[in-house]
Amino acid sequence: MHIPDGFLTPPVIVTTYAVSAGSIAVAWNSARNQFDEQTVPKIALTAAFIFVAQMINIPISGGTSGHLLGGFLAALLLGPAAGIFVMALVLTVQMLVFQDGGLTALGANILNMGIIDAGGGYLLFLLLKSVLKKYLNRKFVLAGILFFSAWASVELGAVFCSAELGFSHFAPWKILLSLMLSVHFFVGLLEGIMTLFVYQAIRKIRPDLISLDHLT
Amino acid sequence: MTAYFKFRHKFFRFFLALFALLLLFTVFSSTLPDGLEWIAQQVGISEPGNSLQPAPFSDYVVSSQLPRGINQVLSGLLGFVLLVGIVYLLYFVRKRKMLKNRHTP
Repeated sequence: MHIPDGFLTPPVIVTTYAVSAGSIAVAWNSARNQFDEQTVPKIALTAAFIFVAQMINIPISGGTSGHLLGGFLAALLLGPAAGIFVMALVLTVQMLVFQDGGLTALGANILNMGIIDAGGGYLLFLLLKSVLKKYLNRKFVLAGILFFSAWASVELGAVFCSAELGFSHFAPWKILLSLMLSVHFFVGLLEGIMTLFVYQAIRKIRPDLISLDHLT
Repeated sequence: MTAYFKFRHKFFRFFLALFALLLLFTVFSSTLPDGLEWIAQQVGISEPGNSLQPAPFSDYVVSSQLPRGINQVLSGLLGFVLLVGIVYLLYFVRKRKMLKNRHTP
């Protein structure tokens, strides 16, 4: 989902940069207190994990491939503010060092894969959790919410990506939206499986290390 | 080692093991176009070749002499070092700033 240079028009570039810069400033303001002795290894390892997870392109039907995003997982492990900050860091390193995504599209990429994937996914998770509060003690309800939020966070990112490309007259809206949503449908499923796997594993290994109080 | 590097925890061992596993999987990463590239092809737009900024390891290629799989693994390790380094750098800068503020009357 990394948008390269040349795909977006100046108004879209300016708008996405402004939204992303503002959001990162707010996220940093809220997350900087988390940069303490206890949490900093967790932040560092989550960033490295997401970086390498995004490097693995998985073949999807129809001659295309997709990679995991990891934003929702970052928000789940670190909280939404630190999650957004970590995603912005990963995407900036990918762009500056490995030319994955363009300089003009960095704002859009951070918006789609950071703010929407991490922040939007987390908001959806909170919403579902409050709606299904009564059933959270049932074994598969929380797992279902986590899986759906991870899947939906990828699809939400794809919707925003389509909108940015649509406003840039890249292709007709309908085509963009249908193609982006169908390709990322499968990516979202993988994202859901990975999120559940990591969540279940951490819950078993060290439930105290992640602030799971917001999950139950 | 200082308390900053508490990698002995099971949590960190788990994450490092997962990282190593994913690093191995990067060798088998698909070369098929990703979703956006594929859509660009479908609508008749080829990806613009000229990126605005130069990057030292464009397209995760550390050395063009090496096979793709090794380049992927090296890029993964490089990304790990860079990101862990940046996060710790931010932590140390913030810690220093806080100590400085504490000592300022």
